[in-house]
Amino acid sequence: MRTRPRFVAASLTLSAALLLVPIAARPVGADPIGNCTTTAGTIIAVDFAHWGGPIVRGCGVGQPNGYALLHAAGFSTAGDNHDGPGYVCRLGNQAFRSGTQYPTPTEDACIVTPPSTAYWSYWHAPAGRNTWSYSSLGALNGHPQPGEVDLWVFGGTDVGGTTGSAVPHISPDSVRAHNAAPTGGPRPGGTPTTRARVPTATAPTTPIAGASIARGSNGNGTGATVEPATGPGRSVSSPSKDPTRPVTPTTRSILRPKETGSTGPERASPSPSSTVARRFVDALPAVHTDGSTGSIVPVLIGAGLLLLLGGGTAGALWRRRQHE
Amino acid sequence: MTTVTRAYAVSDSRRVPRTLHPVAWWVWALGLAVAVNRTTNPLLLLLVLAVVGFVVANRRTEAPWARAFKYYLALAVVVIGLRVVFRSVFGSGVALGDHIMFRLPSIATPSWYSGVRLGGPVSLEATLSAAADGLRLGTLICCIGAANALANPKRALRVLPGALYELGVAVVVSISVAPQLVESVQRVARARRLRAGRSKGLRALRSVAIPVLEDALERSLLLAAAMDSRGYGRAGPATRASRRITAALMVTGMLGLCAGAYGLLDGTAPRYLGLPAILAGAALCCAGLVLGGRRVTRSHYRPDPWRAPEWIVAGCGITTAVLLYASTRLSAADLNPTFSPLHFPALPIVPTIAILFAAVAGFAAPPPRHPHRPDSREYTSRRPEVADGTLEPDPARAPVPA
Repeated sequence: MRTRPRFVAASLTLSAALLLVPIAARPVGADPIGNCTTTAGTIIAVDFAHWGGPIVRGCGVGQPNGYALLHAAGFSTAGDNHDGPGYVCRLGNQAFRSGTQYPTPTEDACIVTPPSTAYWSYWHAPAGRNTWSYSSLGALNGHPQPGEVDLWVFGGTDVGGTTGSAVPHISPDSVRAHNAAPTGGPRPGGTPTTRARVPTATAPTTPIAGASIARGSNGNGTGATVEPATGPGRSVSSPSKDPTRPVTPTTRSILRPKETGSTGPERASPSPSSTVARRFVDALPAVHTDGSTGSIVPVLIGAGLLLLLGGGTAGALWRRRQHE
Repeated sequence: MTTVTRAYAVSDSRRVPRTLHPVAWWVWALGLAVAVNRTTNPLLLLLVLAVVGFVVANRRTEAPWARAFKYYLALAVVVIGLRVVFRSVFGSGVALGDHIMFRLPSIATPSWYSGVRLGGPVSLEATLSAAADGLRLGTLICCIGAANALANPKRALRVLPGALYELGVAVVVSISVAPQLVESVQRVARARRLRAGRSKGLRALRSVAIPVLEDALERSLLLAAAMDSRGYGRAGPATRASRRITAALMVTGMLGLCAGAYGLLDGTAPRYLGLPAILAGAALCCAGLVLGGRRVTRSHYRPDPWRAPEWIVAGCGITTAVLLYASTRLSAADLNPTFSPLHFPALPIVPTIAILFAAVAGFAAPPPRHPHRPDSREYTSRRPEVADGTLEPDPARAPVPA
C-alpha cells in the first residue's frame, strides 16, 4: 500500500502536535502607534463602548489582511467554533480590562456565527476619506492599505451596514494618524508616552475636507496631513473618569465632531446629534501565556469515568450474549 | 410461542421484569439532548455518549427497533467525519500560532466571491473544533436513538391525545414496514434453504420476491381487518360543523406556533410575534385537540403503569437538563472550550455530576422482558410485542410459501 507511509507520517505529526509540542512560542510585539503615518501603515481601532470601554487604537504596517493587522497591533481575537478564526467573534486588548476578550463566553458562546444584532462589525475608511464603508467580508479577506483606518464596532447592523447600533459614531479622521513621519511612540512593554497625536480637528472643516478629497481626487491622504492637535476647547485631556479603566498609556477625550449628514455613497458616520466625549486609548501589546496547554488531569479523570461506564456497557453486552 | 421472561441486566434478577413507560424514556432522552445542546466540551459529550450507551445496553429489549442503536452510533460517526471534511475543504483560515497538519491544494476564488475559500492549510485546531462540533450533533442524534431503542413506539402511541390517535396509528404502521419486510425476506429465504432451493441468481430472486409481496399483501389485509374491527376511522357522534371547527382551530394554532417560533428565533422580528404568538398558537391547538378528542373514545387494554421507576428515570433526565442549564453561567468557558490556542479541555464539576446522574436511569428502570430463545432461529424473529396487545397481526401465522 503506497499511501501507508504518508498516513503514518500524518498521524505521527498529529500525535506529536497533540502531545509533544503543544504551543510554539509566538512572536510577541506590536507595532507602536507612532509607526503609522498618513502614508504608511494602517490604523486599527476597536470600539469597546458596548462594555463601557474606550476606543483602543493600534497600528500595523504592511499587514496582508485585517486579521494580521489586529494581531500586529496587539489585539487578541477568537473565532467561533463554526467559522474558524477568520470570523472575529471576540476581541480583546491589554489596554481594556487587562486583555479580557469581549463578548465574554456568558454573553456569546461563540459556537455558531453570532447574530446580526450583536457581532463585531468591520469598517474601513481609505486614506483621505472621512466616511466609513461597511465591510461585508471577514478579517482574513481585506487588504489594509497604507493610510487607511479600520474600525471594529460591536452591535447590530442590517445586511448592508446602513442602519443599526454598530454604525460608527466617530469619524475616521478622529481615529486616523495625522503625523507625516513616524514618531516613535510607546514601545511594547516600555513606558507609554503620549507621542502619537489623536487628531481632533474642528468639526466643520475636517469632514468636509475629507469628503471633498474622497470625491475629487482618488483620496490619497494629502488632505489629512494637518496636525490640528491644539484645537481650542476640542481636545480635552481627560484624567480617568471611568473607575473600571485600567492603567492606560495615553488617554484622550475628544468631542465627537458635529457633522451635517452624509454626502458620499457610503455611510457618513458621525451622527449629527451629539457631543458625547469618547476616550481613545493606545493599544498595548498582547501578553502571551508561555504556551500553557492547561492541566491534563481533567482529561484523565474524564477517561477514567468513560472507562467505568464503558466497562458497565461491555458487561451488559456480554451478559446479553450469554443469554442468546 | 413460549416466552420465558428472564432478567439479565445490571442490578439484581429479583426485580420483576417489565417495560418502562415509553414517555419516561423519552423525557429522559430529551433531557439529555437539551443538556448536550449547551456544551461543545468533548469530554462532557463523550461522557453523555457513554451514559447513553450504558443505559441502552442494560435496558433495551430484543425488539427490532431496540437493536437500531448501533445505526445511530454509525450515523454520529458519519456526521463527525463530514463536519471535519467540510471544515478542511472550505478552509476557514488559520490563526497565528496554529499547528498546520497538511495543506490541501487551494483554489483561488474571484474577488467578488472572496468570502469563500477552497482548500489551503488545514490546522489541528480547526480539525479539533470541527470534530467537537460534529460530536455535539452526533451525541444529540444518539440521544434520540436511545429513546427509540428503549421505548416501544407502539406503546408510546397510546399517550397521544385522542384527536391524533388515528394519525399516530398510520405513522406507526408506516415506520414498521421496513423491519417487517426485512423479516419477511429472511423468513422466505430460510424456507427456501430448507427446501434446498437455489439461493442465487435471477430465478432465486423471483422466487423470493413473489412470496414476499404476497406476504406483504396478506399482512396488509390482516392489518386492515384488525383496524376495522377496532373501529379505526369511525366518525363517532361528531357533526360536520364540529369537525370543521376542530380543523380550523388546529390549522390556525399550528400557524401561530410556526410564527411564534420564527419570532423567538429571529432577533429582528417584532416583539408581538414571539412569545404571544406561540402561547396563542398552543392554546388554539389544545382547544382543537380537546374538541377533536371528544369524538374518539378509546378504551385501554392493559394500560402502562407510571410508578416510582418512571418518576426516577424521567427525573434523571430533567435534572441533567436543569443542572446543565443552570451551570451555563457559572462555567460558560468550560462548557464551550476553544481549541485555539490549543489546550486540554476542562471537566467542570457540576455538568459532569449532572451527566453521570443520568446513568442512574440504568439502575432505576426495571430490567426488560427477555424472550427465552430456543435453538431454532425462527423464534428469534418473532416479536415479543405481540403479547402487548398491539394492532399488528402475528407475522408468524402468515403462510410461508415455498
